Parts: sequence; C-alpha cells; structure tokens
Amino acid sequence: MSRQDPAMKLLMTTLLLFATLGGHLAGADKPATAGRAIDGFLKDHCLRCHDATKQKGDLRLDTLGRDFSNHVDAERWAEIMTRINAGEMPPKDEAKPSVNELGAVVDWIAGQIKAGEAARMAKRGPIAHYRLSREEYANTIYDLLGVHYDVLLPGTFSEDPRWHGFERIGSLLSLSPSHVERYFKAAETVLERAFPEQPTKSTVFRADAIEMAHRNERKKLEAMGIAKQVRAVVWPEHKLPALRGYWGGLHIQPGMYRARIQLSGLQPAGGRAPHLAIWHTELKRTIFDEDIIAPEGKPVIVQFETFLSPPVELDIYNAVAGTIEGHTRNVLTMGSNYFISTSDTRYMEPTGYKLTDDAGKPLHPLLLVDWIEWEGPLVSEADQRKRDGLMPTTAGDMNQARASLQLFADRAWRRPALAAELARYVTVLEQELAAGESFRSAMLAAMTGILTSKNFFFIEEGSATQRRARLNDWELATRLAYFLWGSMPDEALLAAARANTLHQPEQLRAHLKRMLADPKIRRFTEAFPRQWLQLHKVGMFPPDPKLYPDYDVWLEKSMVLETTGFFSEVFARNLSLSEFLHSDWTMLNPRLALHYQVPPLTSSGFQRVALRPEDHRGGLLTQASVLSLTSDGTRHRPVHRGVWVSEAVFGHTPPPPPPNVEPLAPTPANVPKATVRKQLEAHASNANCASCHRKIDPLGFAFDNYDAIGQWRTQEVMTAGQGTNPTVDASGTLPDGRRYDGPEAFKQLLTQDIDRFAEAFVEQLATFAVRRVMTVDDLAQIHAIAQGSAKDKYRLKDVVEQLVLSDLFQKR
Amino acid sequence: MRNADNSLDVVGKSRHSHGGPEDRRKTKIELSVKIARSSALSSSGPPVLHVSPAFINSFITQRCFWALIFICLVAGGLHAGEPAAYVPKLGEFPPPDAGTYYAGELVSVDHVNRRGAIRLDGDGSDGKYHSAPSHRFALLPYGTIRYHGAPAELRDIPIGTHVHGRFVLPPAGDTTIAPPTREPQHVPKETHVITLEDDISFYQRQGQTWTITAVDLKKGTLAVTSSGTTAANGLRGAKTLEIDLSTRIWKGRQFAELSELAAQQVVQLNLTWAPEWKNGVFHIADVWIDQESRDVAAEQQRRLHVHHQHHRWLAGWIDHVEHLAGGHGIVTVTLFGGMDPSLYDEVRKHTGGFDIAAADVTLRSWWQDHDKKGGDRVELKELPNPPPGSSGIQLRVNCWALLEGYRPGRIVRVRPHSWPNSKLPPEERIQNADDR
Repeated sequence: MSRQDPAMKLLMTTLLLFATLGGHLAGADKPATAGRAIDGFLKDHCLRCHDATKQKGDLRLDTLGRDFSNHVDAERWAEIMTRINAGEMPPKDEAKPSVNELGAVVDWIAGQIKAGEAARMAKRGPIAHYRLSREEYANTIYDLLGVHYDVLLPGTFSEDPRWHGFERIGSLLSLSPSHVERYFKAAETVLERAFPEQPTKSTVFRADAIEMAHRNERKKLEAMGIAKQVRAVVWPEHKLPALRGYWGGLHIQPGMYRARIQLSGLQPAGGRAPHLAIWHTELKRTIFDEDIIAPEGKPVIVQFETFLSPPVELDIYNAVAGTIEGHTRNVLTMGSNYFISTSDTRYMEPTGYKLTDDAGKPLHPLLLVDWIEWEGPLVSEADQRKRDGLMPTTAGDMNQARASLQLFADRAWRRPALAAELARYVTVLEQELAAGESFRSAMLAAMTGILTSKNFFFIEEGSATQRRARLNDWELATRLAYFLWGSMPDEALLAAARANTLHQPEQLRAHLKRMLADPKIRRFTEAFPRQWLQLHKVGMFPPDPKLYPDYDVWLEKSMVLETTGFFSEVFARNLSLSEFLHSDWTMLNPRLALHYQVPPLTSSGFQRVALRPEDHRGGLLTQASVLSLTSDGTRHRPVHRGVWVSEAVFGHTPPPPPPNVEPLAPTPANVPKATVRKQLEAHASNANCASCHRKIDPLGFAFDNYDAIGQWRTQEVMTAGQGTNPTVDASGTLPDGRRYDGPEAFKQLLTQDIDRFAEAFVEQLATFAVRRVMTVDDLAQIHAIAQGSAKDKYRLKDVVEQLVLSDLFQKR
Repeated sequence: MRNADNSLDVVGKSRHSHGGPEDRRKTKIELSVKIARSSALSSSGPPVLHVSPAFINSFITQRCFWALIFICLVAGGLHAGEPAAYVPKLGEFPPPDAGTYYAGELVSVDHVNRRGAIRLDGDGSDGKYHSAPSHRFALLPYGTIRYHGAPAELRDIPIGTHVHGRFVLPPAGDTTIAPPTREPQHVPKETHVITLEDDISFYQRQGQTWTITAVDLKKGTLAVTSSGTTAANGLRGAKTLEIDLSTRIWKGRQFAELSELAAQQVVQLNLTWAPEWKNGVFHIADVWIDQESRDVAAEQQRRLHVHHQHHRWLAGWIDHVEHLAGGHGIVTVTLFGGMDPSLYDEVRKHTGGFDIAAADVTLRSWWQDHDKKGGDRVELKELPNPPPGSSGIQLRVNCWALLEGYRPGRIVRVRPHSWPNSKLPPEERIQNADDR
C-alpha cells in the first residue's frame, strides 16, 4: 500500500468500505428509505474499514458530517457517490450490493447534495442583492426612458451565467469591474439618446425594386418599358440590399426605425416557404425574420421596428437552405436579370437558375420584393412622456434640476431616493456646471450617476437595520414587475407601494390581473419557458449537415418559437398545465409544419394548429426544440432525454454520471446495425450503471421515435453497420412498474402524474420569480401553491396567482 | 446570268430556255405570266393579273415585254411562285418545302451573330444592282451552312463567295433585320436562312456537275455546260464564265495552273463577282478538276468544322423539361441537323454525362464553361425522317440544376463530357442584356 499513489489509496479505501457492506438496503427503492437505512447500510458495508479503529484512505464514515449545505461534507459524499457510479465499488472480489441497494444509496446521496447546494445558493443575509440580467437591464431602460439599448451588441454586456437555464439567480449574477465600466458606457449612450442636443426629426424613405436590385439601370429599364413591372427576386440563400448608406434621402441616426416591406412569397409545391430575414452585415445577425406566403398578385406588407445606429448596412435575405448551389451569371451580376412576372421570364438571364417551371409555378421558395420603406428615428408619444419632468425646462434652474433628479432617481431605483443619497448627484451637477459644462451636459452627468448606482442595477431586498422576512411594498412591487414584465414597476405599482397597500391581497390580486393583461406580459411568456426548458441549448450541437441536410437556422429558431408560442397560448387561454404534457394542438409556422410533415400551412407566421393522432405530436415533450436539445447533433440521446423529463416533469435531477464515461462508440462497419437503445442496454447491464439507468432511460426511450432534430421515424437510420436499419422500439417500463408502448402512451402516463408535475412546475416558476434556488424549506409552500390551483385543473394563470399571493413570493 | 446569246434568265426560274430566240421569247412571256399569277395567289390582297397567250402574241412588243416583267416584279416580288410563306417559330422545325431560293455573292458577314448579306444575282435590272441595298440575312438557329462540300460556319466562307440559300420570313416580332430604306422592291422579305451553300456544295449535293466545253485563256473565258443530275434552281445549261490568273485550279492535293484546264473535264466551280454582274455574268474563283481535289477540300473543311463544334458544342433546342423536387429536372433536347455525322456518332456513343449551356437564337452562349449545368444521360432517341434543321437525335439529360434557359423552344448548346470545356473568346460570348 505504501507504494500506491493517493488516487489508488482512495480507491482501495472505497473498495474496502463496500466490502463490508451487507444487504441492508436490498429492496429499497425510494431515497427516503435509503436515507433512513443509510446508517445500517454504512454499518454493514462500510465501517469495517472506515470507523474509529480503521480509516482506510484517511476516510472515516461514522463521523462524516451530513450537513450537505457545508461544502466540505458535500464534496466528500460526492466523491463516494462517484466511486459507486464508476463501478469501483464494491471491489470485484467482494459480494456486490444489488442494483436496488446501490440505486437507493446513490439517490440518497445525490438528493442530499442537491438540497445542500440549493440551501447554499438560497442563503441570504440582511440585505439580498440581485443584479439585473442584461435582458432585464434593457427592458428597464426602455420602460424608464423610452430608449432601446441593444444589450446583444458586441461590446455591451456579456452573457449572464445560467443555473439550469435560469439567467436570474442572484447568487450567480455577480458584479465585476468590467460590468461597472459597461454600465457607465450604457448610461451615457442611453441618456444621450433620451435627451438629444437637437430634437430628433423623423423621415421616411422608400427604395423600390430597381433601387434595391438594379440601381444603375433605371433609365435602361424605363427605356425597355418594364421599370414599373420590375420586382426584385430573392432566391434561397441570396440577398438584396435592404438599407444602404448611399441611398439618397436616408440619414440614419441612432434610434428606432420602422421598416415596411411589400413583397410576395412563393412556396414551391411540397417545399418550404420563403423566409424573409433582415441581415445586419455589421452585427452579423438577423434582426427580423418571418416566413412569407403571399401570392404573386397579392403581395403583403411586412412591418417591424428595430434599433439602428450608423454605420448600418442591412440585407433582405431569403434564409432558406436552398438546393441552388454554386453560382451562375445571375448570381454574379444582378444586372441583366430582370424579373417582372412568373409568366414572362424573357428578361431573366438564361444562364441564371430557373426559378419557375414552364407553367409559372415556383421551383424554389422565392421572395418577390416591390419596395422597402424606412421611417425613423421613431419617438412615440408614450416614449416621450416617460421623459417628462426629467430634464428641466429652464436651463440653470437648480430647483427644477433637483426635482428632476429626485423624480429620476425615485423611478430608476424603484423606491424613494433619500435626500442624502440624492445630494451626491446634485453635487455632481454643481461640479460639472462649475467646470464650465453646459446645463444639459451637467444634468446628464448627474443622471448617469443615478443610472450607474448599485440602486439601479441591483434589486435590493431587506435592510441593514431591521431583520425581516417579508418584503416591503417597494420590494414587492419590484419583485412582481421583474417576475412578470422583466422590468421596473410602472407608476401604478409604485403608487400602491407608496400608499403601502400593495401587500393587501385584494390590491395585489388587482395589480396582478392588470399586469397579466398588459402587453409587457409577453416578456414573461417568452423568457420563462426559454429559461425553464433550457431552450438556449437548442442548436448547441449543430446537427450534422450530411445526416440532416434540411436543418437550417430558421428551423432551429422556429423550434424555440414553437415552444415559447405554445407557452404563450396556454397562458393566454389560461389552460391547464396538463397541456404541457399532452395536447391535441400546437403552434406551428410553415417551416415546422413541413418539418413535422403535417398538412402544409397556407399562411405565414405561427398559428395554432390542430393535431391528428398520426401527427405524433402534442405537448412539450414531442416538440422539436426539446427533442433536439437533448440530442447531440448526430443522434438522439435517450439518457439526456430521460434526464430532461426527470427534471422538467418530475422536478428531480438524477445523480450525475461518473467522470470519464466513454461515449457510445460508432457502430463498426462490419457488425449488424443496432439501435442506440440496444447499445445502451448493453452498457446498462453493469449493476452500477443499471442502478441509475433503469430509472432514467425509460423516460428517454419513450421518444426514440424522434430523431436528433425531432423528426418522426419508425426506423433508426444508421450510416454504418451491416444490414437494414433497425426498427425503433419506443416501449418501456417506468421505475414504478407501469408499462407504455410509444410516446403517446407514455404521455398518458405522465398526465396521470399531473400533481407531481404541477409541483415541479411551481418550483421552476418560483425559482424564476424569486431569483433563487428552492430549498427543502420551500417544499411545503410549493406544495400548497400547487394544491391551491389543483381544484381547477392547474390553470396556468391560476398557478401564477397562487404563487404571487403566497408567502413564498412575498417573503425574502 | 447571261446566256450564251447574251439574253437574260430570271434566276432560278428559267426552266425551258433551250430553244431559238422566238421560243425563248415565248417562254419568257409564259414565265412572266406564271410569276404574276403565283404572286397573286401567294398574297392575300394584291390584284390578279390575267393575261392570255393570244393577247400576248398579238400585242406584245419587245418594249411591252420588259414593261411587263417590271410590273410583275413590283407586284409579286422577285420570287413569287414559291410555296406559301413560312414563318418560323421557336421549337418548330420547318416543313420540307419551306423557303424561297435566292442566290448571290456574300458581301458581309457577322459570323458571331450568324448574320450577313448577299448581293443578289443580277437580272439586268439597274435599280437592283446599282441602288438596292444588299440582301441582309440571319441564319435561323437550325440554319445550316456548307462550304467546299462539308458543314461549315459562316466565318469559313470568304467574302465574295457566290452562295445559294433557302430563305423564309422572319419569326413574328423579330427585328433582327431592319427593313430596307431604299429600293425595297428589290429586297426580298425573306430574311431568315434555312440553308446556305457555296456553289460546289450546292451543285455537288444535288449531283449536278459542269463539263468544260471550251477554254479560251486569251479571252479569259471558260465555256461549260451542266451535266449530271440537274439541280433544282441555280445555273444550268451552257454557260460562259470569266477566268484569269486569280482562279484557283484544284487538282489532287494541290493547286494547278490554268493550263491544266481542258475540254471534256467534269468539274465543280465556285463563282464570284464579275464586272457584268448586273447581267448575270460570273467570274470563276475555284475550279475542282478531279474528284480527289474535291475530297481534299471537303475533308479540310470538315476537320475545321469538327474542331469548331467540339469547342462550341452542338446546338439544339429544349423540347421539354420534367421538373423534379429541389430544382432538379430531366431536360429533353433535340440537336439541330447539318453537322458532320461524326459529331452525332460521338453523341450516340457517349453514355456518360452531358452538359447543357444556355444560348440564344444566334447560337451564342454566355460563359458556357462556367454556367452550363448537366448530368447523366437518361435516354437518346432517334427520330425517323427528321424535318429540315433537325438531326433527329433527341437527348434526355438528368440535370442537377436547371437554368432559366431550359425552357421549351429555347436554344442550348450540348457537350458530351468527352468534349473540351473551353472558355470561348470574349467576342463570341454574350456579356450582358444588350448583347442578347
């Protein structure tokens, strides 16, 4: 032993520990049972080598602490669990505990570790600080000043850290010096735009098809007599100028612009709809996109608003993965290639790709653009009103200036600014004036100070002088606003806080009702499902283009939009949480309809679509986003799908896999093809692996009918191996013995567990709302909230209301 | 054409002019009347001229005769009497009897666009020779050219060569050839060419030869008479033609001296301008005095033509496109006729891939080595008895991408993958819309 290295020493210690284990936990299935039986388990299997008399590997278990919120204890237990999972225990020359025994022990340790982690993350002092996420920062700036600040621009804010998808967990959102620097930069930019030196003048500019596609050929086209007929045709994966600095009459200033585009979208039979994407060449990203289905003779006008700041160059892009590859003359030169109609192609370059068949029907998804119009910078009356009173009307009037700064700080900090707090910024104003700055400039400097105060970018709860569990009304207003609007409270909420009435249940209920009906609720219905379901992982492993040639960026985006759109629909109609498990409808756009092989849609945009049994869809679990985020880009991953279901549906995070687990090897060319399931089953025959996999895998096997990008299949297509592609087996048995045969049956079983799902959902919702991880102390509250909405089948808005009215929400 | 007695034939219409002066006079009158009648029949509205032989015998004097000729020409155009006017259409080959025969000397060539002009053979008319513009023409996409007895391109034929062609009206809406601004009565409306041949090709194809009857080097004349199978149209009978040291004498594989010419030699001729052109007099540019020399000339031209086509690819037009998913499709092309048979044999034997480049009615392509698309040959069919302009070969190619130019009736150029994929000289490429 003296020659062994420390790792080997620990291994041997663990082996000896298990060599002494008996069968105390035989037949134990539930973590609770394991928890009660752990002492007996340790006594029979471990203590022979790890007690007061012998401490193999310097490990003593009879006195090992069980305060899992203590990081040291938790790490030692995690190491023990890893050794078990890795199959290093028990040693080969000792009797092995049964699968059930091992599973129970591992579950108990994993559960305790998770609870300990939650307790650590939820720990809060007299004052808790929750930094705004960058998304919340942008929302708050807009609601405060009517200025759009693009936090996704390079050089603005970095991505916020996530915990299980949530971007707003206070214990993770720390503050670094770089944050402070960026807050300064952002504040200066925002205030300059809100209070420009010269009043902003809005202009309208329209570029027609000739301007976009044949800029120097207007006279020639007029001479040809087709100038009024020319439309700019954009075929798949090709672009057209949407905005150029050299377009006369268009002078872009920083601000919001409204774009209007008149165009037709021709969809080939059985093919994809053309996809309009507005591509920002500087930012290298799409700022707007939508499928377009509109007949040639009935163009539509698409409208959107976006923030523009020079230099800016935008393209109209037909973002459909096309079969048009390589290039020909009409790609090299738009000149000499004039589209006027699908029935008259005589002005098209014969060497260009054939876009329509001989009957004039499209062969590819085509956009036919007539014109694009830009209007801006836009300053709406509502946005303008947000700035009322914030800038003195009389330059040099210090009384007005103090009042303006007070008003601004009260709003920005979401509570009344104390006189002492405000005095610092009045001093800044005075110093700037003394240094010779203009009154406007000095005011902006003082306001910049207010916006870069911790009182702005931190949500504060609690007080240094008074230890209290319940939020005061200002804090409650802020929590409510950031929960549902992702932003600061509006004046009505602040007024209720000022009146100290918000905490009153009727007042709170009334404000909640008002907030749920406000358009800003869209921020919640988009952000919560995205974070809850970890949709940021969609596309994390880009699908192999050889295996999935039809996969494209818009499909990926559509997958996410289906899920967030589905959540919005459940929310808007106040449907039951059971819809998330199974539904006879979903939200589709033409791209997803094609992907799912459901009847094609005849109009663009997302729409509620009734599902037939043969569509094999319904609920969240069979949505392409979920199926794809649990795959690796090459093949589906039943284990990851099982873990996802376990977490999202049952609120249970399975034990992590041991380190250095070898991935499934690709099927060799000389052996028969076998499904991933078959390969996994071979892997899970090891008792140590089986202890977890038997619980996880059945939750994932149920979705084996869906490939790595969520397409339905009955055979698992394999590129290597011998023989035919194997048939999918999507049947299985849940850990409690219930059997299912295919995803539909599986979802039916899940709906029978709706109470369990509802509690898991409330836990996720509460995590989002109160910005911290739930702990064992919160379980009773979570249960009560779920039960409060059970009588009416867990309708989504009811669940939200139950949460908001609960102590869990109103306490720190 | 000036006859031995210095009288005139109307080119291509003098079918029975071998009698004495009186007979010839009657024949001319009958012919004129026929022309007038045909002219009236061939057009929808012009007045019909009915003239009885008795009337002619009683009243016509020599002066009246010429006046009548003039009236007939004005009323009916030069070559009324041909079948009903044919208007070509893209995607449709002409009927076998389509076209009107004209002959003349090639006076200008735009070989890239397959256009040119001929000075029509003289018929004694001052206005036609001195004042009327030359007859401008454009070759139809399937229009064929033969030179020295082999397929050719327009650029192979030297300016000054006397050629024979079949001409049709322009396609509807075609403005390739602008109407004449002067002496329109002398300029035919048939501006589009189905076939164009030099003399040797024209006569040899029809089996007509020339037998030398007398050689007079001092006078610079060669007397010949037609022999073999009499050609439809063109010259026939006894002719006296000009000759001098500029005349090339083809013998065997080399050129010979004028002294090699001798009576009774059966020869082929290529003609050119002579000072008395107005009156149908020709100068001889080339004389082939034996079969070997004719074979050599034909083989040289054939090789030039094959080389040219290998790089420019065979022309044809799209019959049909089967559109498949994803912008793919099977393209059916009929290759035009008139090329050297060896080229078609290469196509027949090539079972691999083919490329198809978009072209226009002049057969010019854009950037064919770069812009062509293609794929595997699916089928090759041979149509029996193909119409004029067609090779009878119909090719189906499964193309991995389709071009705008792949529409029924549109012109393409086709390459078996075994042929060169060359970038053509810039003058031959269509570069922009203005070139179309």
